Amino acid sequence: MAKKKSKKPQIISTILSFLLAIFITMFSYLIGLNFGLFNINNLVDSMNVDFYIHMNEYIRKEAVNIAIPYGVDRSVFDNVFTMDITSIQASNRLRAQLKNESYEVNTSDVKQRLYANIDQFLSSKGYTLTAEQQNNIDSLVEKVCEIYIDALTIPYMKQFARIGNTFNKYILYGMIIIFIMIVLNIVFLFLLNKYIHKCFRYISYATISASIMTAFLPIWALIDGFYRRIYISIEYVYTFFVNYIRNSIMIFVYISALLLAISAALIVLIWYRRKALIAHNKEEAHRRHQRHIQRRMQEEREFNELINMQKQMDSFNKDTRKEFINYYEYDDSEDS
Amino acid sequence: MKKNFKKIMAYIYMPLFFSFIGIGIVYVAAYPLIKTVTSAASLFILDKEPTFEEIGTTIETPVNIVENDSNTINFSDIQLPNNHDVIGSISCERIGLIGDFYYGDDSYCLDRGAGMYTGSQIPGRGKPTLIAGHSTTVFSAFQEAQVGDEIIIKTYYGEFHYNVTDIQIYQKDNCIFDLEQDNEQLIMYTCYPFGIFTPVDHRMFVYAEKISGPTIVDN
Repeated sequence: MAKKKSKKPQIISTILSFLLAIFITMFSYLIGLNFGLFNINNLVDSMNVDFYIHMNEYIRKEAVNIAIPYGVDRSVFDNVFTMDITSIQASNRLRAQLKNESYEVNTSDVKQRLYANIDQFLSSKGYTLTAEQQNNIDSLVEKVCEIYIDALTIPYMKQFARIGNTFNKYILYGMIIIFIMIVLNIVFLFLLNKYIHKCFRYISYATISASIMTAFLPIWALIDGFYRRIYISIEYVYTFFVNYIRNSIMIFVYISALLLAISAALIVLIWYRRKALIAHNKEEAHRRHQRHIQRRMQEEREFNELINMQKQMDSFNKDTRKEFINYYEYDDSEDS
Repeated sequence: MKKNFKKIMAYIYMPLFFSFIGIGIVYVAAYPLIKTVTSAASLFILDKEPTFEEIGTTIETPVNIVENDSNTINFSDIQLPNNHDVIGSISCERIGLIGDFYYGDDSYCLDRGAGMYTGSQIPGRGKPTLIAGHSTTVFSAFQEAQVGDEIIIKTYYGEFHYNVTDIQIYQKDNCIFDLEQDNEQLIMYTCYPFGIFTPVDHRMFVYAEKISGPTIVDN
């Protein structure tokens, strides 16, 4: 009667596969957050040329707005805010905010150009100003510089930096621990299962499941679009945040696709291993069968030889007996 | 064949089963945190995507108001304006004052014309209308304003004429006007003194009483 196979290894392997799926999902999320959402370089790189163009436009618009009550023409703000200086100052300011350091925006260029433009405007109109009016020019320039500094300060960055720095402090430890758990999990799977393709099957269940769980939240976020409804009143900052969050979400989708590709590769590998194993088993079975047949033939030959010998022995004894009888029935008187 | 089919289906139902259980466990375990985060997020997430175009609309005159020959208008017949809407024009021929009349008095409206404070009443309601304008743009003409000047406000529901009765200069933190009085009055104000880079510690108030124009009545 055949021995009944125990279901225990199967159950334990299924549980290990589930745990592996959880660990791989956690690892994916940590990688996605590390290389996506909380990556400072990524954040600074997201501030592209369009961002600075819109920032400059916003600064000029706000400056023109506050200058209207002062009676100056908007042409005094031409060439005051330049792209190259704005971009350098903005990225330096952002890096300082993210590192919780202080960075003082240099407004000397802005002041210099603005004063020059105002002087040109006044002389073109033939105005001569009193000391009090000159003070008001200083007050306007100060207000414009305040607008400039405010525009270079991205909102919510301090809060974001605090969360990001806390995360970055512990992420490496988290990734190492989870990686070790993944490796241990796989090792136990290999120990529990005799055949490699079975281990790969449980691993592929885990990777497919991890792919689904990794993509679930990001795809929901992309479809729901809650990040597009974030309340930011300044358009270029809103566009920056929306693009950055979308790019960070897409990293999770790419990780999910990678897991799916790994699963597909594992499934192909399993198929090939199983095919090779079946072919190997067939060959092995054929060889065993051949050996068995040869052994049986050998046994049969030996058995037949024995039978022949026995027969020979039997026949030999009868004759011998006759000879013996004939020999021992010889008359001794013939010899005397 | 059946065994192969089962093995292939296992690649579908097993991961789905794992995912369902995994997401379920995380949702149940982290539910208080999820609730806190979503509550906090709802403070700065709107119902729909923000629009950044501040363009107000020019309200067209409704047909039923044009056809009405009496000098009263039902309040329910008037389309109430939204912030940044152009509700008409303001002018004074003698001093050369002319400009668009906006509903709202933020920088968008004042950069483009005269803007009325939305806490006051629209012309025709029998209460004061508070209107602001920059001294360097639309209200620069008030340099020449005098008592007796006629101010005309043309709106999408009627034309109103006012007579300037008083001009006062106040400290900017000590302005005097009463928006609750039962008198239809135009209260227009701007920075004082006029000129570029002048100190803007004062405000010029121009008060005008209604001479003619429709009256808006409740139904």
